[in-house]
Amino acid sequence: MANNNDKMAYQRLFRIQGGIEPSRSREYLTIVNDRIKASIWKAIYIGDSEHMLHFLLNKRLKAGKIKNVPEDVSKYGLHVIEMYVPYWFVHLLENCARSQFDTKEKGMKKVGFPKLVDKTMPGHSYEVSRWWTALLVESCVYAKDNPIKSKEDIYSLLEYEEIEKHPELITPLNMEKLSKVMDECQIPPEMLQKLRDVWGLDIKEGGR
Amino acid sequence: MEPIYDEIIIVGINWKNKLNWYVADKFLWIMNLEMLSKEDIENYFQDEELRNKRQNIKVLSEENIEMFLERIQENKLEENELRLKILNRIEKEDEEIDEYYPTLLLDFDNKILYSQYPEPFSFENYVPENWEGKYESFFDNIEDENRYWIYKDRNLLK
Repeated sequence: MANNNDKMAYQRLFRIQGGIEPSRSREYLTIVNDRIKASIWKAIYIGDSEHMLHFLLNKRLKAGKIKNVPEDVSKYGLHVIEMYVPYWFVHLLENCARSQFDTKEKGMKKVGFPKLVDKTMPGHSYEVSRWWTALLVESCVYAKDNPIKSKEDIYSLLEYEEIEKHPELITPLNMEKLSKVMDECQIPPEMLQKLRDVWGLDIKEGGR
Repeated sequence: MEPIYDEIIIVGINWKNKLNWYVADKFLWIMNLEMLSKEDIENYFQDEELRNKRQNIKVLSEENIEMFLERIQENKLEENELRLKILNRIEKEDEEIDEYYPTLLLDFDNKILYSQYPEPFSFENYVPENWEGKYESFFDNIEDENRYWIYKDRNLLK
């Protein structure tokens, strides 16, 4: 999932919210001023575009393909939260992720490392704890809420312009907040050092 | 045991034409553990409850269901008990009752697993070879007498 070509690139992650009971995801994330806001601090599921498309078409809409999406798709009340994060965040996610079943060890339970979920589904999806949700919030440079009211809305998600072409949309990271959240996530020291060495991030020790 | 959204789920088991409800860890209901990686299986059995209930049952099927049902007797809840839990929750004016939706239906008589699980995990993909897994609503498959979410003709989940 992580793109090695450009260490300064941004990548998109997604979360699908809404739906019709019983297959509905709670609205844990909202968008305020192009930034993510968490309405409640709980574990959430996020994924790449491949997973997003599969989940949207096969789990929420049961359409299989975009062309089969019903005309009255708006009745599902679906929203696709689109989040632009720096490549290093995706790298961190991939390298810190644990097995979905690796939940009972006290250390993991306390720290809440992301979990790679259901490998039988296309793409990559993760369950992120509330600590990592906070890290996602601080790492996300631009976010957008995409209500799904037609199949064209889904096509639009696949056709996008790289955010680097719109620097005015990119919110600078708050390194102080980011350092604090990374400390709470207990990111391994060697990974923090890599963030400093490779991406030039000014991550403070102990979040200070 | 109390249902907790996305952790402790409500599952129906239909066996010998009788449906019973159970409340347990969601991972208990991965029918075919052999589809997991070796690392995942090792992690799976590190959990005490999962280990106790799925020991020697790597593939849950009609061949070992009787043994499994004995092990999960403590997880069984009658319709009235579940109904009361929902009513108590509604009384507290707590908005979230998502955890009281039945999540899975394991029909051992017809060898079909139905999943309504709302988050990214495909229980329907982890069925034994001679089973069918379906991601679809199964409310209509439940007889009136087993619909714990119905109270005086009112759907408590709406």
